[in-house]
Amino acid sequence: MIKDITLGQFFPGNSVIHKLDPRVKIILAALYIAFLFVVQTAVGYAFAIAATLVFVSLTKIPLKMYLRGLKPLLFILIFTALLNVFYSTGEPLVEFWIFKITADGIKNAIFMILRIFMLVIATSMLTYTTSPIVLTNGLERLLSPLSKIKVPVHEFSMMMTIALRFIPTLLEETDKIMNAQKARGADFETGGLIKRAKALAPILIPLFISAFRRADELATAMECRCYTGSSEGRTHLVSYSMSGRDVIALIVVICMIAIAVLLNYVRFFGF
Amino acid sequence: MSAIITAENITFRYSEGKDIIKNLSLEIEEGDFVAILGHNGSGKSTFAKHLNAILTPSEGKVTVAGLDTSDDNNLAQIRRTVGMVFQNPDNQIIATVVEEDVAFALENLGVEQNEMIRRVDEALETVGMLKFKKHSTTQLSGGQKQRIAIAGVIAMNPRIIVLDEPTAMLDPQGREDVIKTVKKLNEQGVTVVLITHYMDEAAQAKRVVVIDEGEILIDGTPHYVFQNAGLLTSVGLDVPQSTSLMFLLRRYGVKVPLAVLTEDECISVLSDILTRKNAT
Amino acid sequence: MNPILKAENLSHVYGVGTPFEKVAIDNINLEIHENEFIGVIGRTGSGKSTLIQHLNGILRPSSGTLYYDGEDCWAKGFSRNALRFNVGLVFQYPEYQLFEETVEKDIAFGPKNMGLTQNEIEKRVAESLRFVGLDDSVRTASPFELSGGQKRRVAIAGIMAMDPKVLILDEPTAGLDPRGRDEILNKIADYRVEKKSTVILVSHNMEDISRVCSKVLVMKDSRVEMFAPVNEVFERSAELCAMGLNVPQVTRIFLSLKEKGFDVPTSIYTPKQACDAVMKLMGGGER
Repeated sequence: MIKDITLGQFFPGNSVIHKLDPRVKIILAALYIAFLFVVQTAVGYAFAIAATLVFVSLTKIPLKMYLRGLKPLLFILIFTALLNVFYSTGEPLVEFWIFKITADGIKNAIFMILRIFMLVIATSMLTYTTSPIVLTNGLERLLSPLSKIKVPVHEFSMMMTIALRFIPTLLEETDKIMNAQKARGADFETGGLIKRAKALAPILIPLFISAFRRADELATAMECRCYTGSSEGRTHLVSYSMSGRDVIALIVVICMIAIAVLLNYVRFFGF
Repeated sequence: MSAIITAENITFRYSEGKDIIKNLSLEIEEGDFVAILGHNGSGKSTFAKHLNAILTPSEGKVTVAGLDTSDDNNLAQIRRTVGMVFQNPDNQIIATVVEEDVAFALENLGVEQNEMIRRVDEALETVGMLKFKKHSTTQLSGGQKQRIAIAGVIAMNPRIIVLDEPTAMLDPQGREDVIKTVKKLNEQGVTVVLITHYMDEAAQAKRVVVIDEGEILIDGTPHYVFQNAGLLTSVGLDVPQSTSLMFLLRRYGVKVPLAVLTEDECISVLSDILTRKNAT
Repeated sequence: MNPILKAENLSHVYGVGTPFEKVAIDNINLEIHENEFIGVIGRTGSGKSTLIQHLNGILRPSSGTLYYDGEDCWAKGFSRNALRFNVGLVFQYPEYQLFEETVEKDIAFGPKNMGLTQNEIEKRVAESLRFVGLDDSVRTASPFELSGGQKRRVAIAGIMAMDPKVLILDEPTAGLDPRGRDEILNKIADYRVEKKSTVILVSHNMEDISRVCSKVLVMKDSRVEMFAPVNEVFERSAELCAMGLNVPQVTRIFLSLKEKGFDVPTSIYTPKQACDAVMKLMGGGER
């Protein structure tokens, strides 16, 4: 059933990583991605893998949860890896027909796979350890200076909040409407493309009508609770203050980048 | 006591439509618990929306705590004074975490953080949901969601709370919890206006105003109102079973009072006549 | 007589293998016969909704068997679509499923899916409008312009138009005012008499059930707690109360009187019965 889909996967917990300030976590994730692009050598990659594994263990979420997030990417990974292997310049190791496989190609493919692996793990780490609402809050605070140049940061974050709140409600509703139409003999599973598209009307029309009704009622309820649409004079229940933990985390990641830069000059058997 | 809400000869219609409220006048005292009873389409919800300026009268005047609802400059003050709770619990919860939803109005009002935390806790305590503070709002039952909505409103410390059919979509347990909460608020001094079509809920108010076709049909204490069983059924409403029973017994010549609403009242009347019977 | 619906050790578990695993119905055994009018009651989460969604094949049992007219509904070759036409299910707040431009088109959706002829569809639409007490003039109206109570009726008519052998309604009176509630209940009762069909009515309201149904099925903690004629179920009114069900006010009053030592019957559920009981106790002499 549709409602079994879990969105914005978040694993509640109490680890050091969970407790970090969400603003810091967003910055850390960005820095970490930068770090992954600095790394260019085998030694550097070994260092990056070790660092990633340390962070994963700090979240106390099993590694296999992170690997699960990679599954949908498997096809793209293999495809781009093959491209890298076959289309690269340098001395060919093996050559046949129009393909030539070079040592550089293999190296690039492996590095690229590792990089994507770690990228996915880093972003998963952010969403796994931060509830969607806290993440939205963090983003809003982080981007709030932009509102000075008329970027609607508050509006955007309110939209995110409401979307997060209503996604489960609308999924549940879709499920209900589908069942109700099935009870009237609606068939969503057979037939050609056009027939199937037509079969969606009995679901989509009630769903849209209901979504508009909800939006209307929600807007009234928000106004009744003194919402004016502007962020001026608004305060927040949850505030974030950077603690020693956050500062240490920032220093660690910045050091990692520095080390990665240095490691680029250390070569191991020429890799 | 003084009137905190006054509606003076109000008439309401949507642009070209027929009159939904017709020349209605009503005063509500501070601290009262008033049930507005009427069938679907009687105009009771339209009236409720006048109490915090979601709608303003086409003719006539509504004053809330001395503020004219038709004056746009009063809007912010009126919204703080009158808290509104609506029928569908799903469509009035804004945040995904209970405490953040309760804090929503306070955030809008710019309440300072420590004060906000205190008031959120207090409001959740009042509705008996404090232990759900950190829970996700989507996983609560209908009755729990509705109590969160009430908490979100009372956190503003309003003087009046208007509930527009808050129990229509709830199961019996949820209904009971919500009505208990409402009574508790009234005991704490909040003026309560409860819009409903359930007579058992209206019976628990201090005053019942029955609206039909946009006009006040009857107005008084629950005991007074429910004695008019014939009138109520003629406009599509019910009376409590206890009251029906008294009417039936009267018809058989048994001398019982008609103003019997609650279980306890009915039990005492019945045990009285049965004891008397045994004594003779 | 063979039961029209029969559940044998029917169980349903949601979210198997996840941390949210929950047994919704547990080993249900049940026989429903033709032309019965059954009320289903139970607290939220007792498994009522899960049970009825099995009866028309929307949900597949985790274990156990459902038989329609003696046939295993999940056997190979059994048409579940036919089952859905034979066992019509009106969901809670069915007005939210309306989608067509006109009332008649919406009601015709089910019959159309059944592949009926245009003539037959016309006939069904007219008939079911009459069953729910809607005027012919609403046929060409948009269902979205109607009042809440009328929308509900259109939605119910949409299921009745499939002419199901068994009609199941989940809380058909939810949110309606007393008059709307009475009218819908009466229409459903009339429909059953005229069509000689089986009707299953799910409700939180014991008064509704006691007024129209002949049998009551009480669900508790995913199991069938009682399944008996209305008066027999009310003879166990103390148990109903203890289960936290919403029993009628007079039932609670008579239970209290009994507790106080008065020799009153406790299977009372209408003011009329209550009055008769009191009069009988008083010797009936005061008439």
